[in-house]
Amino acid sequence: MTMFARRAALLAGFLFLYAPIALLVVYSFNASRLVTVWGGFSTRWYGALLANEQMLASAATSLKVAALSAALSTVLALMAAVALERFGRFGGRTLFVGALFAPIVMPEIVLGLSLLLVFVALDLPRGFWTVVAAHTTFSLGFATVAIRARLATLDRSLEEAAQDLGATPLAAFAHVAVPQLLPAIAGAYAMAFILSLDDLVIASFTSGPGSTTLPMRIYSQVRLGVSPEINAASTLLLAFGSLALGALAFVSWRRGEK
Amino acid sequence: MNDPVLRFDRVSKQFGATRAVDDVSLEVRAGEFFALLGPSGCGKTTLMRMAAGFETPDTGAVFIDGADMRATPPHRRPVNMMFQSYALFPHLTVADNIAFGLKRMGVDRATIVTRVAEMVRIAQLQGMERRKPAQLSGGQRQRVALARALARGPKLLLLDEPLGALDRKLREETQFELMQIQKKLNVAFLVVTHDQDEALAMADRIAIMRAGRIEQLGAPGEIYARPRTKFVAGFVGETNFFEGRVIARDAHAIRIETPDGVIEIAHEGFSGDHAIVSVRPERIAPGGAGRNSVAGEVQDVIFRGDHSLARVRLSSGALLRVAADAGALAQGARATFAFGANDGVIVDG
Ligand SMILES: Nc1ncnc2c1ncn2[C@@H]1O[C@H](COP(=O)(O)OP(=O)(O)O)[C@@H](O)[C@H]1O
Ligand SMILES: [Mg+2]
Repeated sequence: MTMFARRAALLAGFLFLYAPIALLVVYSFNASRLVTVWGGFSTRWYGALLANEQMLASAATSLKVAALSAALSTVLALMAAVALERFGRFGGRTLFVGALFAPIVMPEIVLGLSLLLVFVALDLPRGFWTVVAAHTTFSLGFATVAIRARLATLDRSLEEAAQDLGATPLAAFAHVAVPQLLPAIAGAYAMAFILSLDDLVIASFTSGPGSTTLPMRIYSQVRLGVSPEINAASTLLLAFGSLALGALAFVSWRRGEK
Repeated sequence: MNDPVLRFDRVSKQFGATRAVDDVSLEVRAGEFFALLGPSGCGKTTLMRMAAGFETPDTGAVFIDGADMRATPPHRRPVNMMFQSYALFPHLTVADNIAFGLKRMGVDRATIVTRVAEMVRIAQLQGMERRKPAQLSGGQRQRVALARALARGPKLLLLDEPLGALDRKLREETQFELMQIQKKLNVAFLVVTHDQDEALAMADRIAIMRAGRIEQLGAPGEIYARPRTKFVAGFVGETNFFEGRVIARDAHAIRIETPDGVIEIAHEGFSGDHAIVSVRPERIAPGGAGRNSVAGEVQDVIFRGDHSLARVRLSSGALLRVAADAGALAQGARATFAFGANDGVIVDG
């Protein structure tokens, strides 16, 4: 292949991936109400969005759900990773591994539906906390993979040295292993955060009145017709996701610098 | 005599089919420099890890300062260990690495600062306090590991191949430093090594390990001069073996028929009818007179500075190692070599 052809192929690839997103961002700054007609640059739809209390409430719900479920799932993932890497072969280990990683391969719609059934069977009123619980379940497997991979490469003699110097096994883990796991823990958190922010299917099954997430709100509005306001909301969602990724990249870059 | 700081009482440890440590009993006395010497894989590290508490003996017991350690976890044992890989904490500075063990003891800040400064001085790490391990050379890392392990003031320090990661020149220098620090602080050192020169140079006493067992224990000079087994004779220093049937004996000497002729060796109560004799290269004199003599052709000569080591092809085909004055032996020369009845030691197979 010639240089030119390779460049062209790359360009086509990027266009295929990002042109729709770029289009969405551009049209969020469209002055015109018509989605397909450019009427000049304007931030009026962002203004309208700020005045749309329903939309704002959903954005707040989404961010809270993402922050909380990511925190829960990171803590549980750290514990699961320790159990898998450090406790040898305990009874029920295979079942544990399967349960942990099933949500990764299970279709979201199945996960959402089964969680819904559980909440109904337990007679739990659906709302904010059921979404948090569902998203924690959903992202736990991914977060565990991220933390476990790093934990497996840690030098065990470091923790032994800490114990030799008087630290209990738990203190040795906290003082020596955790600092080295921090980038992986931050990565797991960011991943869980983005997974939650992005999710429509599971949230649709597990949320209740008053806990509509942003993707759910956008989806329900789109069914009434695409408006530039939706473009603005989606752009903001995109910005949040990118910000989380950027922060993560920055953390690992700073680590690498040292 | 006071209690030994460390005592292994018939400890054994099995890993799958490997008997890593096999019925070992030994004592390390207060303030002594004790070396565990043996080839790689003979169980030295496993034995040391049992003293630190990272391995549990299958049978037998470990006593530290007279107290049974079977139920004591590593963080409550009054010994410290310097790991083979050093195991420095990469996210902490040199000063914080050294302070780590002191912080676990719950001593006050001022004491920690003073103690860290003292260790920094002893290990000659002045100016490195704020550096991270990644910013240190191999020799400096080794000294940080030593300072960190000594900071809590243990009575016994366990050192696993402390010089193993250093290059040759630095190793000798560090040997002397280790010995000085050990004597100055009056800490008992249990050093694991596979390097016989290192053990001979540093230790007050040496235990030679082979396949999980202690084969001989004693002072360096004693082990070198009176090895009990063929393995010990060959592992500690260079030597020559003569082997054969005992054809005559009296109360003081036996005569052995070897492929290179009959030799006569002094003995004390040896009763077997087959004997193995170890003769050190420096006990054999070229050309000289002695009770025993063998003839051969000099195959090659290795210059060693103050002396040379010649390898001589004997008539049986065996190679004889002979130490001689530099330049005394030429390659290809035919010569006879002699040693006395007291220059050889009868060893077990
Ligand atoms: N944790 C372990 N699991 C299985 N085998 C081991 C373990 N530790 C040591 N061994 C085996 O025990 C023997 C002694 O090992 P080690 O004590 O490390 O020897 P050395 O320190 O003298 O080189 C070796 O054969 C080694 O493979
Ligand atoms: Mg070893």
